[in-house]
Amino acid sequence: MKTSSKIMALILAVSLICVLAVGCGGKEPANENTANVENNNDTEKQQDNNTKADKKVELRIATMFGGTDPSTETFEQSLEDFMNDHPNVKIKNESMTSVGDEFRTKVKTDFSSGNEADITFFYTGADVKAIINSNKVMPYEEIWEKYPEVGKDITDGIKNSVKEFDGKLYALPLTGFYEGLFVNKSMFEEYDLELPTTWEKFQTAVEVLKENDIVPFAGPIAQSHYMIEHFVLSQAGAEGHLDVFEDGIPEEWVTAFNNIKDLYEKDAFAKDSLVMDIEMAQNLFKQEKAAMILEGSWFIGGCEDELKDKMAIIPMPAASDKMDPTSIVAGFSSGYYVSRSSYEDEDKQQAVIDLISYLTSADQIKAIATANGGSPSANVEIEGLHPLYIEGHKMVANAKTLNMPIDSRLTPEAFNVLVKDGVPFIVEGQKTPEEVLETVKETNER
Amino acid sequence: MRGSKRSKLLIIILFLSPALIFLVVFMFYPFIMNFINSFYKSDGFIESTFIGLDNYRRLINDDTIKIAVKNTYEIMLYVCLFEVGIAIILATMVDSITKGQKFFRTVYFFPIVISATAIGMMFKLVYSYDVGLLNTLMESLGQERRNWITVKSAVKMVSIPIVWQYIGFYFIIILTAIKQIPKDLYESAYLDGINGFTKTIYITLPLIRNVIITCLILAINGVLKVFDMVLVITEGGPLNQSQILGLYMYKKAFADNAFGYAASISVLIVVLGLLTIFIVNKIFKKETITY
Repeated sequence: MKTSSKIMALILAVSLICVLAVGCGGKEPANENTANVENNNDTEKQQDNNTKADKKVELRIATMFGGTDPSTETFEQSLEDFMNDHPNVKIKNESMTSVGDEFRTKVKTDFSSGNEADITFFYTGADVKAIINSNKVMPYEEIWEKYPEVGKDITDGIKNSVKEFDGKLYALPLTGFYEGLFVNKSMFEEYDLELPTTWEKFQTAVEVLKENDIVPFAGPIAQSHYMIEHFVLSQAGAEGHLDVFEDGIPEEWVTAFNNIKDLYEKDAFAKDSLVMDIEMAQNLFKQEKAAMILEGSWFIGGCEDELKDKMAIIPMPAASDKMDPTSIVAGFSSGYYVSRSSYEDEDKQQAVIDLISYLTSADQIKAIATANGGSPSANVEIEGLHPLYIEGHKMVANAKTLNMPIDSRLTPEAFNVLVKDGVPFIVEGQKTPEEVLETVKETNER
Repeated sequence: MRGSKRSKLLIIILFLSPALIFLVVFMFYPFIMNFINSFYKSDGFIESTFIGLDNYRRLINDDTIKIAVKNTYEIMLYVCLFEVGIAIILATMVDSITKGQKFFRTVYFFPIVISATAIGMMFKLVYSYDVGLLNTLMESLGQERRNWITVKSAVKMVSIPIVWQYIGFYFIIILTAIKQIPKDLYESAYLDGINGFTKTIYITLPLIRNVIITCLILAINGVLKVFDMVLVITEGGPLNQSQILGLYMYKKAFADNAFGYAASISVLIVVLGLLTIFIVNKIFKKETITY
């Protein structure tokens, strides 16, 4: 080999190793969806603020207000406003959309690798249990010992509703959700049907709509999350809905799944309901090919105003006298967490407290609720909303019981057994509800 | 002399080390970690408990795994028969034409550049009961709409896009191999009166046998990695009837948070992959033809 070739070979090999070394470097991970909100404003406002005189602090925040979320713009504006008021604080916004499992994976990976954001907006319940157990997020009870004003605008009832398994509060919620039966009123009027406020009216509507070649109920059998919630609630009532099989398989749950099977056999669902997903079911309703759908409050945002004018939202009709007709599935299932490492960092503590206080203030809650139409966690009045949102809020206000969804009480695997290996097999007669529920119980206890 | 040997060795090490580092960091280390994780009950992030062979015991008793293994091998069969088979037919046909070869190469190769998710979405719409292309065609022909994805047809329907996407890849490999065959072999065969179909059977195919085996091995490996296409089209349904190993592992890990169990499924995938390729190699092992 010629000397020049050897030199070339050596340079090439060293370059490759350098590329590798650079690639494996410890630079802070950059998120594609990250929108870095830089502080360009150097105005000197609010001289009395605690963090103002302090040295420069950089905070990281990870939320679900990213991508196409209706709150994205409002949230980004809030961060900018905060930075304008606190020139020494620079916020790195690592928000992502919550669609899919990517955000869940990001947050869990960050917490498990010690790379957690200073403030994280994340789910409550089963999703956060491991993070709480690892002692990486602050209970607000500890924060309130020094800063009693944090989250003061959020109502006590709502704070109590998001307390975790150990009786402590780790997340401060902004808006809540509710689920219910969305009905195309104009279709019901066309066929002279009463709104399905009772089980009998619901059954009659199914019969009449089916006879007129309209899909009575847009229900995706293989993604039957909302159907499971509501059929169990309508049969077992609010108390039975909370059952997690501690005393065996509840009879009401068995009847609830048989009710779904009964409707399936009566052709209440679309012909391809066994393979359709939630989006396809939503489209069926949005295109006015289906008259009813079980969905959450977020569904309203995706409907055209013309359709919203034709829609009504009511609680799932009671299939037995165990259910109070006002009972619904609703709650607050996400909120702001403060990481322990940031709170215990003396340089960051004040900035973190200022930011979390600002983000959970009544004004910010109102802004987010206006953007996404959810139920606000503070006593604020939302203006300019479509009447359908108001109808939804009224349904929540009238409800005697608000239950969190079943998946907040079962492990993800156990609930997925119910959805994937349960309902489709039950409606097709390949498994009995008892067999499915027994497997769910075993999986939940595994 | 000794100095020259040492510098050669240094160059070899320098050249091979980046690739070796890549392999160790991104393949061997994760695989070993995955194998270790398969003995744990883990949420994949924070909580992890050693449970010995429990995940493997569960694997043996899992009915869905049996369906997934059966479906994976069924798709493997379709891929070997149709993906590589159609690629051979197309390659021999394109080789025999004198004009427009570049056009056919581009057209047949094109589906590979589209992401599997996009193709999955496309086929999902094609099969859709309500707005699907197939049902629209059926209606225009005066036929009734029908459900294309059923318990019986699900595997076959998801196999169609899997097969379709990679035909072009094997087509290019086989066409390149055919082009390597010396022209004088065909000329002497022509003088002996062999032409057309017999030429392909007796000359072309035996001479590209090794390339076909490589294609088969690549295709079999490819099936073990498939999950995105099935995830988009059927999510493994209805009634788990289109469930495959790759998708089942993904769902256990990322939807069910059962990372330990998912790790044991991925060990099964590796074992089945190695075993299948070993058997394929044994079956097709024959003396290599050189020309």
